[in-house]
Amino acid sequence: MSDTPLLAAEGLVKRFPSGVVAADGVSFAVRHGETVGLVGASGSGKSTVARIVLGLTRPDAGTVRFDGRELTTLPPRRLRPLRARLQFVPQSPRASLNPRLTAAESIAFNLRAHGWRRRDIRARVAELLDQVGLTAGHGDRRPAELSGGQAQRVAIARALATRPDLVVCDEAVSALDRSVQAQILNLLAGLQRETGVAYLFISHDPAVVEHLCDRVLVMRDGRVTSPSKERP
Amino acid sequence: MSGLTISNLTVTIGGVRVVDGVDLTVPAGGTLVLVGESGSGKSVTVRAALGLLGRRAAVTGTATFGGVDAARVRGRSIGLVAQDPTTALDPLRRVGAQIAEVLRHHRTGGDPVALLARAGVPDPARVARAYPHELSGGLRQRALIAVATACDPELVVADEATSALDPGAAERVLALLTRRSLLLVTHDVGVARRLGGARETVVAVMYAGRIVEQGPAAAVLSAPRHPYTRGLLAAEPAPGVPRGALPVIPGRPPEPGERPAAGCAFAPRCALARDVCLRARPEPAGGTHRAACHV
Repeated sequence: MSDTPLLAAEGLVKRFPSGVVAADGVSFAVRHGETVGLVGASGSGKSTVARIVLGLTRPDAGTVRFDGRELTTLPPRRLRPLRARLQFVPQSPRASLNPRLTAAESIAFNLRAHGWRRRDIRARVAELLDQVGLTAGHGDRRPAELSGGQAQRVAIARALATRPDLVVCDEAVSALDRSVQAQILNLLAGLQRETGVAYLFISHDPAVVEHLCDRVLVMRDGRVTSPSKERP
Repeated sequence: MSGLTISNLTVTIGGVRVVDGVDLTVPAGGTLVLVGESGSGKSVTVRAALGLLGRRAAVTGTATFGGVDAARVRGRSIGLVAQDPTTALDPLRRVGAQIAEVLRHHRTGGDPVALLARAGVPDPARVARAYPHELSGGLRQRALIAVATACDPELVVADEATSALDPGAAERVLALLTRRSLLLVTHDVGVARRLGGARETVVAVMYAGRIVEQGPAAAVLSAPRHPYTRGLLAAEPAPGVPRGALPVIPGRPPEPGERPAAGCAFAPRCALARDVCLRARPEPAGGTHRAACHV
């Protein structure tokens, strides 16, 4: 593994027309295979940073390097192949999955979008469902027919489908009750051991972040106030 | 100040019994925390008690507030904080105008900016002029609290009002609400812990449409009696638990339509389950700290 961090954000600034400065010089790095937590009060800028990292929001200033390549100025056509390696698990799984697609179709959609061939997709979807603890029967269900925890497993399988190096989880377990949350946290930790994926894990819950993360960044008013506290 | 009393409440929707004989009391001037997973029936319980379910739902049992039907005093004596701050506000109208509408509807005087200030909103004049999308989730939540408390209700019902907030913001929001009787509905058992012991707080745990445990918060949190409550508390991330090794309750709660007809609904997931648990439904037993469990 090289010394170059997988993801390096430098001096990110984002102002909104309303005058709110959501990011005010944010810098951090995520190394291969590690979990970095990003905590902060609501409105502190966590989600804006996530959107910039994912290429969904352009920063007013600053750079995001993913595996050495600058993301923020990349045209969409060149960004797409990198997206296969940089995936996302959102907060509200049932709302983020296409309600018309079955779980298996949602996972397959992501693979097709990244150029996987039909005959490989079927086997990969089966493998992923198994990896996140779901059956083939769950694969045939639509989001409305899945529990919150099951839908979040589908969202995780969809994110891991293209064998990404980094998954950004934005409040990925916040809407789940504690018993299901514990199942999903164990799942995320287990998948990391199996696949070596790195996580940027955004949460407003310090207990969850302390549990899951190697390092924790604290955001306040658009700034990182505590630079990456190492886990003891 | 009055309390809310829910007696033998049962809700059937589309032939499925979603809530099954629920008894709950919000102590006057105190707090009831109703904890349950999604699908447990906790939101339906509260909506039924306040008369918010449509005609498709068959409701039996009673919910009274100060001697009258709770549904009749909703909006005035009972304020409701809506669950989802992103959808409960009209996206096309300024926040201040939406609060003013509530005040007009209930014919009470009041100033939206002052109400926002009371709800702990910094720079309330700016927030009153803002559209919902210009505000963070935490600010939107506080705007909803300003709406719910506009008529100075005696009881506030808050369904997941703090779930989307960081602990600091949640604490400030709860402090605003705890000047009244409070019914807090939440999926996070940790909310009860964060309330502290300054006033009478009761925790009720709901599973598969029934209350499985109910008692003073300190007792339920420190000495839970129902295996489900114990599982929920053990699953909280705590210092010293290795990553990936959180104790979990196996399986998942049954959907309303697939709950077992006989016995305890938790038995299929319960490590302590015996024959009797599959045969007979446990009834709540015990004094002020009650649990519905054979074991």
